[in-house]
Amino acid sequence: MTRRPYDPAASPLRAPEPGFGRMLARAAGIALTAAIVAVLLYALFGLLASLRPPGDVGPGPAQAWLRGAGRLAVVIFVLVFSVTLPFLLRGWQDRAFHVVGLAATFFGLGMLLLFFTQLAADVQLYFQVTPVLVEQHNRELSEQVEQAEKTFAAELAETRQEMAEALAAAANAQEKREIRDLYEKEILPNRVKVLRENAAEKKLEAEMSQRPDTSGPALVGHFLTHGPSDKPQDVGVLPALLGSVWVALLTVLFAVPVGVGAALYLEEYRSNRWLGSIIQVNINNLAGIPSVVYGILGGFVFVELFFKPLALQYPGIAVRNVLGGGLTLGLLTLPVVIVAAQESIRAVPLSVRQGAYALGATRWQVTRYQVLPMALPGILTGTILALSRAIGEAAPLVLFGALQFVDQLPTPLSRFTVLPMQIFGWTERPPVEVTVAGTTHSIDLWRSNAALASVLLLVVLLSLNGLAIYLRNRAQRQTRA
Amino acid sequence: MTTAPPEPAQAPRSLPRANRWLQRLREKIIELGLLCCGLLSIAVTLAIALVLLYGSAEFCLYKDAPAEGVAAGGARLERMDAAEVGERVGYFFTGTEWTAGFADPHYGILPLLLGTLLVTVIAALIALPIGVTTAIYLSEYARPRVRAIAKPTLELLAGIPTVVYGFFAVTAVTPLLGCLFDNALDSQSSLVQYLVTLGVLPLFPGRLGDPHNQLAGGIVVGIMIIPMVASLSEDAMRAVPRSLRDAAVALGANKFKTSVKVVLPAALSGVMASFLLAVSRAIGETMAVSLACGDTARLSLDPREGMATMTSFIVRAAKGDVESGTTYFNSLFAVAGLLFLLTLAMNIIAQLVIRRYRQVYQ
Repeated sequence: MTRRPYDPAASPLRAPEPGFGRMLARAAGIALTAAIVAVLLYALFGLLASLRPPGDVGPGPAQAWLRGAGRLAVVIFVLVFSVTLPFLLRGWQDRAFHVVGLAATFFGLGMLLLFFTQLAADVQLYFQVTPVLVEQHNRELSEQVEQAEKTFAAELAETRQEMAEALAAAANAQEKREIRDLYEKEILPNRVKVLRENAAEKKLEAEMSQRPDTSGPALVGHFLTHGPSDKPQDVGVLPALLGSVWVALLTVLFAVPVGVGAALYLEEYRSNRWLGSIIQVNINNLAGIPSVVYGILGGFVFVELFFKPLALQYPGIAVRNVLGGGLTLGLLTLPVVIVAAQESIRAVPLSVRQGAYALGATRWQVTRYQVLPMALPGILTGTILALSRAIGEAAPLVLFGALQFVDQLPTPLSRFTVLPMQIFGWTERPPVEVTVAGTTHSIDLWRSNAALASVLLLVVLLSLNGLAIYLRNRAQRQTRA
Repeated sequence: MTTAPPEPAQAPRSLPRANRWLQRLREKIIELGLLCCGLLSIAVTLAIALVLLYGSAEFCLYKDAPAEGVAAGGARLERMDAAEVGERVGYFFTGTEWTAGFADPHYGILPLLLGTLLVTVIAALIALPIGVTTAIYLSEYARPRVRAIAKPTLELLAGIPTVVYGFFAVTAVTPLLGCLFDNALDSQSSLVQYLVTLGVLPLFPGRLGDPHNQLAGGIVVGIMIIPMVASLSEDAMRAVPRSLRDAAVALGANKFKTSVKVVLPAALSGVMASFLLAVSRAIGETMAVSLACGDTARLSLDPREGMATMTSFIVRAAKGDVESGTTYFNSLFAVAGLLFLLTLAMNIIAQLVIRRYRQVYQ
């Protein structure tokens, strides 16, 4: 039996509403009762507070606590009462629930707006503080170059001075010539060469690490194209970003074929009823296992049992590598893919299958050429959901042993980090001491970095989720049409 | 499940016999391959159970060898006798001190369990009422246009990664709670001063544990699991037959009475299942909790202090690069095993409840 969803607007029946005057009278009665209860509550606590052992002088902490508790009880009572009052009155119940329900539905959104405001403030802090620090560092580097040039000149002058002293101390012309030769042919050129190299090195270093452009886009560009650093103003997310992309790709490459295969078995084949229902129950349970536990599984199976022995033979392989991380997350997202694929396969009408069977197709031909193409939009939606879960998940990879400080760009068998782990690491870091113009501030600059990385992660994830919702809605429209 | 598809028709007579045999073989191989995909999920469950069991057994049976022996090249762990094993297992379930990784380690799970419990209770206090109210509103009251906005909103909440929720807990919720609890004590704001003189605030002496506290963790986890409660409960309520509602309205009930006294009880098993699944998710929540609550194991009931939970201990142990093959490392498996059992039990109960409720209306 198919059941249409309940549509509140379509119901033809309406309950009669009581008159306004009667409702007002009832409200007044309830309010009076409530007031009496509140007064009694207050009096009770006041009485308790005034009970004092003989010999006790003045109100002690217990009395203060009791009085406070009494007032708090009254405040809570009044608050709770004013919220529940409309629900005690028949005529107001529906209206009140409209308001309460709307508030509850959008409570999450409200909190989210609050959080996003904080996020925006942290990101703004990044754009305020980072340029100052970068410019400060630029200035330090320029000063170093100047310093090097100054030392260059000073040391040269010193050497000349030495030469002059040596010449003055020399006894005869022969000795003077020897000294002059020694200085002009050997010592001076050598000294100049060394000093010049030194200065050039300093200058090169300054040019390499100086960031002349401190505008907003340039800062974001630097953040997106650089690796980790021990200076909060210099860090970037490139290795983490690429690590996330690699891990997510491997996850999907593993989870989607296996997941769709399992879903096809459960929906189209399931020749063994008993085995099928065991697999089904098992998948439902897998979906509820905490993600850390998958991390422990991955850390044990892929790292300890597989890649550790392998890395002993082939030193080029990192023990905790991208492939292992991707497979771990693949196991984690497997139930997501299976459930989504099952739902979309189940939605394919039976008549399609029957028609194909009637034409003499085998079971695999029906599955491959009829069912799978029709279920593809749903499978795609499931894939995107699995992808966004894999990108956002950090706990299994912490357990798997992914690092936080990785400066090399990831390849499938190298060590790696991912964006959520980077956010986790940066959020945990304490504030940094920043000295600007002689005054020292304590600024949560690492957290600002985490905020910027969070914005990046959220943009990726929300656009993926939006895509999934759009695809699902389109598929639903097509099925209906 | 759909009804079993009819047996495939006979292949056309014109096909040679060998070709038909090949085709049948191919079908068998494909079915076997798909079965293997399905069996992999069972293998994953078994592997998880085995790994956790293996680690927990090592935790129960072995203790750290003295440092001199290890330095001399001996094994890191040595067997304990039966009395010591009994003591360790007994202390694990009843001990009130968790100091894994310290100089004098004690492995009593109660502080971690209490930390998890506190976060879960706070999260449930937020998510369950709000989630059920949302579900009633969406299934009974909301117009299609409101639904069209509310559904993506809930999906948005569900789509934010947990580590970002942790970031929010640290940067937004904890400072706000600090304003509430700490600044009240030395605030100049007249409203706050009024509340102080009203005698309400002295009820909460002391300050927020900085920077970690259980309250912030519970709040963000609560917000995180609202979508789960709301959407599962709403599904259950929409599955309640319309005839029940019509009967209630015919008896003179208004929409509120119908929702609360007829639809909600009729969908109660589904709502309970959503509670169980959401609470199991809160228990297993990791990144947000370990950022918000910290990893100091502490036996306390004050939600303003930060207490390690089971998951945040696991994260600390994993992050700290503990040498494998030590008791500290093995304790991680014991904690994870307990976590696994807890969540598994809640999931199984939820599945059973859902099955029962399906039987009632289908």
